[in-house]
Amino acid sequence: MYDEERRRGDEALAGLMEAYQGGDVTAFETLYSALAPPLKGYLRALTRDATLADDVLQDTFLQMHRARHTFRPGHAVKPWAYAIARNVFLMHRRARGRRERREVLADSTLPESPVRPADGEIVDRDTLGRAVAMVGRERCEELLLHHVAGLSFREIAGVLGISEGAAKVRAHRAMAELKRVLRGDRS
Amino acid sequence: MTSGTLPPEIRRHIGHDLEPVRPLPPPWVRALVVLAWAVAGLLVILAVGGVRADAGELGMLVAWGAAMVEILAGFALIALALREAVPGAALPRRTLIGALLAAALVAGAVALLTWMRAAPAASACRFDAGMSCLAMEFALGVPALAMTVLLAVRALPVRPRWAGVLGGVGSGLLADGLQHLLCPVSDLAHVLVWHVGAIVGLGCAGWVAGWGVERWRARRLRSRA
Repeated sequence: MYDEERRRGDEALAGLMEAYQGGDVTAFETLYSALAPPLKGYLRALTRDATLADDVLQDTFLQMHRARHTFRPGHAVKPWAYAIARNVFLMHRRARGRRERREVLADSTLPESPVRPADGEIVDRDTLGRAVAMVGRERCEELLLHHVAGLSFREIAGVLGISEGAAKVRAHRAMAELKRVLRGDRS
Repeated sequence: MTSGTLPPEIRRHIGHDLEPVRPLPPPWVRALVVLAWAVAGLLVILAVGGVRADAGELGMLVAWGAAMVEILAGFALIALALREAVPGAALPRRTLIGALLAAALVAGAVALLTWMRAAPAASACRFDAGMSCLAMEFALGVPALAMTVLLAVRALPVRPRWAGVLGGVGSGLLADGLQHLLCPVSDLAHVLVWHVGAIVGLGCAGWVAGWGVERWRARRLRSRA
């Protein structure tokens, strides 16, 4: 059921992207409204800075516009968009020449995660945010892309330049680490 | 801004440029541009100087077959570099390293086969001959690398240095495939030092080009901020 919904969503996005490549501004607006919130959540988790995430998000869409010819019709839009967002984030980090701050995520900087209600009762967002910060962004990236952005492990492999198996293993390890941190947090 | 409504700055920016665009062709199709350069080089070689004097002695397979294998391996590496450059289609590092090792194997096998088939008298490793081979391989390889880097930059590479190394080694193999038809020296040391050295040099040049692309993009972003 969820897979079917996902597939339909991906097809709709791909259709919009092809219309946008054809010069349709309305298609771009619809794409923006569909992609901006989850991308912003991802970028907030990467940058841990709401203002910087807004800047990177804006640059991401400008870059997507410049690189719209690189989207291959028939392929999924999300991995393409997340790869550009990640690239722009890395460029920002290099351009600023400063190390990432290891500060605890504030409530406002937490990504909007499509967490099922039952999972939401297990830990509150604040605790989860602290745990993600403790585990580290690099180690949680696969987890974020899978559970927050809803990308498949194959798509994550294309975004990060790793194998599908490595993406699964890293996400599994990050989940185990997250659980360990959360258990320690509660005790 | 999370609301999903298009910010006015982005709307203004894209408003100036909403021409329809043609999606990029698959990487192997784009790599054909570089292959065309190799074919042009081959035609010039045949028209101007002809192939190496010991081509008959080496046999069709070692003279022409080995050159074609190198050219095709170079083409495959360039196609991989162009695929790596497309956002969301990045290749696992293991695949990239595997491709570079396969390139080393092809170059090594060609050197070994040629050395085994050539007459001992034909073997001589001279510095001036080596320099001439190196210069020729760079003359053939640098334009191929430049074309690959331009094609890769147009596709927005997420890891330009990797795309550069693959493109550089691929261009090196293309150049070495052509040089294999020209160079009359079959000595193993000559081929390993100068011919394989040129491939490694072009790979390094690709890495530097990728690094330059990264720096240029970061500088452009800084100037906009």
